[in-house]
Amino acid sequence: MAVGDASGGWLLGIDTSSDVASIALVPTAAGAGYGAELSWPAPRNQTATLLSQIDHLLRICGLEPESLGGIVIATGPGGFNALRVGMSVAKGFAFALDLPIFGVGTLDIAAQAVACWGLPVRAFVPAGRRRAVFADYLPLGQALRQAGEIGNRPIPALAADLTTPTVLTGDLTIDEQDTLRQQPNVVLPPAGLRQRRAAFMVDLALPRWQAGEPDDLMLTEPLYVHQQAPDAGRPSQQHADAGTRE
Amino acid sequence: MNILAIETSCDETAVAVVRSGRWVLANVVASQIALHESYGGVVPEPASRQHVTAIVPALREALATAGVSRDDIDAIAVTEGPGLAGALLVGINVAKTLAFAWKKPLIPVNHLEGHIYANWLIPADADPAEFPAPAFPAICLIVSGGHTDLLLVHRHGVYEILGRTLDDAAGEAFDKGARILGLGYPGGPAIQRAAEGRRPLEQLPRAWLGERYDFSFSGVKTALLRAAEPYRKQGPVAGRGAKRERPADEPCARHEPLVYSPNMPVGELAAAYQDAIVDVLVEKTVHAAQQERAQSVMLSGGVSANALLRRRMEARLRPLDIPLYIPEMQYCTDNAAMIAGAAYQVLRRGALAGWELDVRAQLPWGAIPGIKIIERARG
Ligand SMILES: [Zn+2]
Repeated sequence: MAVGDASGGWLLGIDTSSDVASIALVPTAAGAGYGAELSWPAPRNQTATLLSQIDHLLRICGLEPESLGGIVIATGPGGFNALRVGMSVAKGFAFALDLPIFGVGTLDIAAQAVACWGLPVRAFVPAGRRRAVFADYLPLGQALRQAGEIGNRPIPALAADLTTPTVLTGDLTIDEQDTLRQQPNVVLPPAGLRQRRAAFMVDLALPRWQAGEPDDLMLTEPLYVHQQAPDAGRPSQQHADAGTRE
Repeated sequence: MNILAIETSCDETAVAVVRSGRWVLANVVASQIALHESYGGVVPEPASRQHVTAIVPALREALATAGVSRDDIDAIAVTEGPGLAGALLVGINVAKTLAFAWKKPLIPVNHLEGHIYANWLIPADADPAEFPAPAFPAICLIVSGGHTDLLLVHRHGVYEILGRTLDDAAGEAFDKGARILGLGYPGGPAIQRAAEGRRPLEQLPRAWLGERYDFSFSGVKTALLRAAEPYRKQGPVAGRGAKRERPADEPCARHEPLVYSPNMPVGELAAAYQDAIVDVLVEKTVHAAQQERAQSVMLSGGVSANALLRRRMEARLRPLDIPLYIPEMQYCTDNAAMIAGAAYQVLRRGALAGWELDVRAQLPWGAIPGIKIIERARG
C-alpha cells in the first residue's frame, strides 16, 4: 500500500446529507500514515458524482477497495434522496466486501468541528425553504453531548432563543450569515470551519470500530426528519410520476 | 455468463441472477404491496424508503438461492429508468458500488426493454429446445401500471413503437376503476376477482382511435364513474369531508375509500370495465400482428397476468397460427430477472456504463446506446 499499512484496513466515510458532499479515507491503525478527504458541491447529482469521487480518493491514496476495513455513513437529517444516495453506496460497499457499517448523525458531524472550543454548540443542516433542522450540544470534557431534541426553524430565527454565547455551525448563505452574526450570543466560525467534514465523522465512529460495535447492515437507514410541510407526493401511476429529481 | 441484476424503479425491490440472458438461477422480489395498499397506490417517498432496507436481504437471498458467490458473477445490471427517481437511485447506487468493489462490468438497462426480455426467461435447468425463443419480427404488448406500449420488435435491439397510451396506462386504469368501485389495491387483480363469473352490466365505451395503434382509457374510466355514481353514499370520507389527522410518522395522507350502497352491482360493473379495457388491448395487438406478419406475439407487464386478456388473446391468435408468448406470472410484474435478460443483449451491444451512471426517471425508449428506434410516419 502506498500511503502506509493500516492492518485493520481503512475506514471510508461518506456524507451526502446536504449540497456539499464529503468523503474520507482514514487509517485505523496507529502510525499507519495520513488519511485523505474530499468535499465537493453536489446539489442535485450525488448519484452521478459520489462513486467517481470515491474511486478518485482511493486512487490518490494508492488503495484498492479491498483495503477498506469499514464504512462510516452520515444518517441525516438531510435531503431524503441525497441521504439515500450515500446510504446505498455505503450498503453496497458493506455488502460487497463484507465490511462493518457505522451510522453517524449528521448534526453530530457538524458539531464535531468545534467540539474543542468548550462552548455550547447549535449545529444545523439546511432543510429547504430557508429553514434548518438543528440540535444543541453541551461541552463534556473534550467532547460534546446532545441536549434536547432535534428542532426545525427558519434560518434567520436560529439564534432567537440563545441566552449564552453559543457556536452556530452549519452551511449558510452570505446573507444568512450576516443576519445571524448581528444577533446576541451568536459565535459564528468562518464558513470553512462550518462545513461538515467526513474525516470528523470517521473520528466519531472510530471508538465503535475499535470496540467492534457496528450497526446492523440491513436495518441501517437514513433519519427522515420531516420538513415543515411534508411533500412526499400523492399516489402516482407506476412510472409516470418521477417524484423529485435527486 | 451470469448477470446479477437489480431493479428498484417502482415498488418492488428485486434482485436476480440469470445465466446467458435466459436461465433464471434466482429471482427475488420483495414486494411493497402491503405498504401501498394503505395509500391506495404507489407513493414515491415510502416506496423509496422501503428499497433502502429491503435491498441487502434481497441481495443475500438471490446469491444464496442461485448458489453462487461474487466470483461466479460476470456482470452487474441495473434499471437506470424510467421510474421514480428516489426509488431508482437506490438500485443504481448499490449496483454501481457492487460493480466497482467486485471489478465487474456495469450494464444499464431500460426498464421497458426489460419487460420485452421477460419472454426469454426459462427455468435454470430447462432445455432450450423445449423453450424456443420468440421469433422475429414480433409484436410485443407491454401493459402495466406504468406503461401501455405496442411494439414491433424487428430483431434484438431494433424496435418500432407502433402505439402507446395517450393518457392512463392500462394497469393505472384498473387501479382507478378499482378505486371507483371501492375495491382494493392493486386494481387489476381486484377487478378480475370481482368480475369473476359476472356478466357486464352494460357495454362501456371503447376508444378505438381510428386506425392508430395508440390507446386511451380515460373515457372508459369516466363512463364507469358515471355508472357507479347513483350508488354513491354521502359520507364523511366521500370526497372533501372531515379529514383524519395525520400522525407525524406518516409521510403522506392515507387512502380513504369511497362509500357505496350495498346493492351496487360491483361484479357486473367490474366485468363491464374489464371487458372494455381487454377488448381494445386484444384487437389492436392482433391487428398489428396481422399487418406486420408477426412470427410471434409477446405480452409483458403486470396486466398480462389478467386471465381474460390471456384467454382472449390466445383465442384470437390461435386461428391465425401466431404463437403467443406470456411470461410466467413472476416475470410479468416488475422483477430483476427480466432486467438481467435484457442486460445480456445490452452487453452484446457493448453499451456498458461508467461510475457516473445517473438516475433517468424519464428515460425515453431508445435513449440507451445500441437501441435503434424506427419512427414510423403517422397518417
Ligand atoms: Zn414495469
